[in-house]
Amino acid sequence: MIKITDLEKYYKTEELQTIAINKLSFEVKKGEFVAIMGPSGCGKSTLLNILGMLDDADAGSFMFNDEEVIDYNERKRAHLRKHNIGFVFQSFNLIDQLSVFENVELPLIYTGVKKSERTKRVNEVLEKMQIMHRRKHFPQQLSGGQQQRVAVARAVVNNPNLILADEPTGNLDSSNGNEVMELLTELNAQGTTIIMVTHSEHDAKFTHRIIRLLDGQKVAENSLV
Amino acid sequence: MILSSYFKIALRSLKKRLTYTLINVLGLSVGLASFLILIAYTNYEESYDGFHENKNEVYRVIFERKQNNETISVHPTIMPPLGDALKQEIPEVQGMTRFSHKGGVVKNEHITTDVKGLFYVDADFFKLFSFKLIAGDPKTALAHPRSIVITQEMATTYFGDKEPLGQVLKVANDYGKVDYKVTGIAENPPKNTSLDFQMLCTFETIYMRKKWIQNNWMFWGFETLISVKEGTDVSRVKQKLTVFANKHKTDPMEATVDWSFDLQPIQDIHLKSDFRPDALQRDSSARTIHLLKVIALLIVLISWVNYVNLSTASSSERAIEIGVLKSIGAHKRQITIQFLVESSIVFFMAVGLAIGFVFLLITPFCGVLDIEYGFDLVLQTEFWIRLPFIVFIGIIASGLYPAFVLASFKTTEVLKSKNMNAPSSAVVRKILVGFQFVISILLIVCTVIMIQQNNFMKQKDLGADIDNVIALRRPELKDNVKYRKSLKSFGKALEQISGVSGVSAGYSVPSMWTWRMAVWKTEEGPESQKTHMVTSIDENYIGIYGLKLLAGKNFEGHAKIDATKVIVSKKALELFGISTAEDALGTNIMVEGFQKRNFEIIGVVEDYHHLSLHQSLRSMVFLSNIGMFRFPKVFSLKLDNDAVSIKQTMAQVKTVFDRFFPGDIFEHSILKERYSLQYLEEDRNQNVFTVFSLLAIVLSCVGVIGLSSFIALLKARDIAVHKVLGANKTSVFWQLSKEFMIVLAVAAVLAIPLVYVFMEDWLSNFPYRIAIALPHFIMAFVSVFAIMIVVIFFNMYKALVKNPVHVLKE
Repeated sequence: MIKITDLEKYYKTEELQTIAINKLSFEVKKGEFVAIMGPSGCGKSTLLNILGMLDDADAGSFMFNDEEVIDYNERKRAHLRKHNIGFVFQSFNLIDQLSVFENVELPLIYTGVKKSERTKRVNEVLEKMQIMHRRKHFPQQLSGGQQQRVAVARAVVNNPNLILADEPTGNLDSSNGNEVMELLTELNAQGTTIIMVTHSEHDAKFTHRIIRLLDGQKVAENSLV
Repeated sequence: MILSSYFKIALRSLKKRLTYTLINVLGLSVGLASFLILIAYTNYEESYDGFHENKNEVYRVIFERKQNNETISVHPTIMPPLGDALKQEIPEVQGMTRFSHKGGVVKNEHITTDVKGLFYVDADFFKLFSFKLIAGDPKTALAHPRSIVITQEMATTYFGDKEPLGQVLKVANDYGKVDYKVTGIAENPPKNTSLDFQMLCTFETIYMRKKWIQNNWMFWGFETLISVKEGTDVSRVKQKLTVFANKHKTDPMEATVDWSFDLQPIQDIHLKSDFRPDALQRDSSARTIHLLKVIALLIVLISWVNYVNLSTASSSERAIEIGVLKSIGAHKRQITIQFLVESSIVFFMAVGLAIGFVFLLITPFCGVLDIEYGFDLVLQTEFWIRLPFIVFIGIIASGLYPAFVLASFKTTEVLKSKNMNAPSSAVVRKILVGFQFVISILLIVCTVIMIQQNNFMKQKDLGADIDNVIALRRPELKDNVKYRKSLKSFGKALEQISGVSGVSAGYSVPSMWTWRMAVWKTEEGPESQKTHMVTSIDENYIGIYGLKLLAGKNFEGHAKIDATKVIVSKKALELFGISTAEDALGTNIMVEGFQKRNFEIIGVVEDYHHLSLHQSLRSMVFLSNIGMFRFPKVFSLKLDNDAVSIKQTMAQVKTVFDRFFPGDIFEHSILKERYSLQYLEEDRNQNVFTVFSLLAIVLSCVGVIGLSSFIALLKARDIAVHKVLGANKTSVFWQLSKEFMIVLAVAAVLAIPLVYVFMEDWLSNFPYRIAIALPHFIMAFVSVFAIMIVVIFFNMYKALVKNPVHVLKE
């Protein structure tokens, strides 16, 4: 599903250039659950942003569903993103002024889904995430675990092929964290590809494979299956 | 469907940041309300005479006299025979009416009133203008002499429920005492007309009483309006007028003078009539209207700038939201629309509030300007048609940039950092704040200069003492010897009243217009004529007004002796080419209208300002009350300094007046107040500038309050770190406000040339003016600086005193 080859990303200031991703290559197959690990500043989040088409790379190749997307413009990237990719953030990033239902509904609005279909799909996904009873609440009225469930619901409501999760349990206690990881495992079992950035070895154990980075380069790859 | 989501998100976002929303709505509504009020007013002033159906074909004839290619005089009036001949001589002219504003005392068996709006017009009046007749035939109502058309209001005043048509009204004024038959009732004219009549008498009636003017080509006393065929080349009409009139320029006095004519569109009469105070015009000018439009624009720009600044400064709060929206598939365009929707909601709320403000403030505004338009200003259709465009421009002008800035945030960066603030938008913000400061300083300096100029004009020594003088209008004119004698006895009786120290009778008093006439030295002939202000006085005038006699003597008070004598002002000597006052004595001069008479200069007085300081010192020629001046128009009553009270003295004066002229209208004014009325336009400008420059400051403060709050929020962590490291409140405050102060200093520097350009241009219209000086700028800068320091300090105080430990923990 994803194949990156010799991918590079630099950050430039007036005086110096920092390499965030350094000739990185790997492949993620459809239906895989992959963890990306490494110390702070190793390029995990940068990589995730590039994979999520939120940021562009400076060199190398990025094949998405057998299509080269490295030179895609902002409009094409946004199109690809909204139809194929769901995001889960460490700090949930729910929109405060929208209710649970409305937060989850938002991606469907941007993809132009009709109202009746939206309601049906949002209800389905809220049921699935066991958060239906909170559909009218606002994010600030929910616990951290519940907020992350909503964030996951929002990420999957468009039936994306790929979920990118950036430390999804980083702001949660262990119990809530485990619940979220089980949720992601279940989604993966249903066929969704997941790439997760994490510091937690515990969370990584839920995945199929761990890619370890250091200074923007892959230093190890462990298969867990 | 997606639009409803935009609205939902926008509304909740605005509700969540209620204070911010309120500041924006309030700021915008105040700016917009000010703009709307000023534009409503300027629109109204510009709408004068625009309601006439053939407004594009109606012109006023302007008459210009030139000698050696130099303009001697320009008149909005022409000769009666020219008016009479226009339709026959110039085929393009379809209709013609004179418009002679005389006023008069009008009475029937029940009521006597002084009707200010009494005019003499020709039969074509209703053909030229769209005034409607409720009763009577517009074609014939003014076709015969001694006919009168009155307004509904006048019909009710004089006849109550009785049928007015066919009734008789007795009119007494300079044209004598004539009975008129009511032949038409007109709708009350709207306020926005320069032909603001109450009664219209047939012009021909004047000829019945004053035969001498009918064929007089040397009397240019009547405003004349014509209508031309649609599509007429106006320049050809002017040319034909000039050729025709010059054929009749047979008087030797005009031999060296060229006559030419211009046509002024009817819609220009109200604002572009710089002729003389009693011409068809109001106390407004195109210059004032232009000035008010500029202020309106500046005020609304300040409020828009506030909105832009607050929106971009608060972007840090919106960064995450934008990042999330983008990450779940929102395009930049969709986010831009999202914020434009938010701006639109804010704007529409502001418009609603602004309209409320307009209705609430329109009356006080009219009070400040001393105008009586009231709600007429906001009832103009054109005004409401324009409103949506103004709102649309506002949304685009001030909503698009913040929307664009916010939508341009890089998703990856905003999701990483909570304190997102685009540096480019910070630069734009500084420029915009600077722009507000420039406008504020500009308006303050302009206001101060206007006030000082106005005071300078009002306080400047006039060369005449107008304190404690009452101007009393003469009673109803009766053209006979008995009347003249009773005027004389009345003057003597006034002198006997305790508290009255002197009485003078003449054609004019300071502040009152008088004739500009051609005068020349007899020995040099009419070729050497120059225009002087000519009036008539008696032997008491010089004493009452404290004029300084430089040489010679005063009138003697003996009609026959004084009839061939003249007193002139020092300025007149320049025009006569006489170097000293003494040399002037004994010189014989001739005056237009008195050609058969030689006047001997018997005295020279120091110059004084007969009219306001809008005009340079005029050369004055004082005749005694003879010829056309034989019936004094006004009495000057000098009151004692220790007179018990003006009210009491005037009560006695009225008693005497009623004894001499029972039933006549007693009208008087305090001369100093009357003189001040000449500065009405300056007073208005001063009031408007004061109000709106204060408003500009308040709006700028609102912007600065909002901005400094966000800066305090953004820099909360920096403040805490500085304090932990030992900084005191003062140094931290300076750190926070430094940005504003530097911008303010730059704004002050930029404002200086702008003030010079605007105010030098404005002051150049005054022959007596103040100079723009450094203290004007220092005062404005210091006041804006002080206000901003106070505003910023109080606004940031909370951030300054907050315990740094808590901030750093957060």
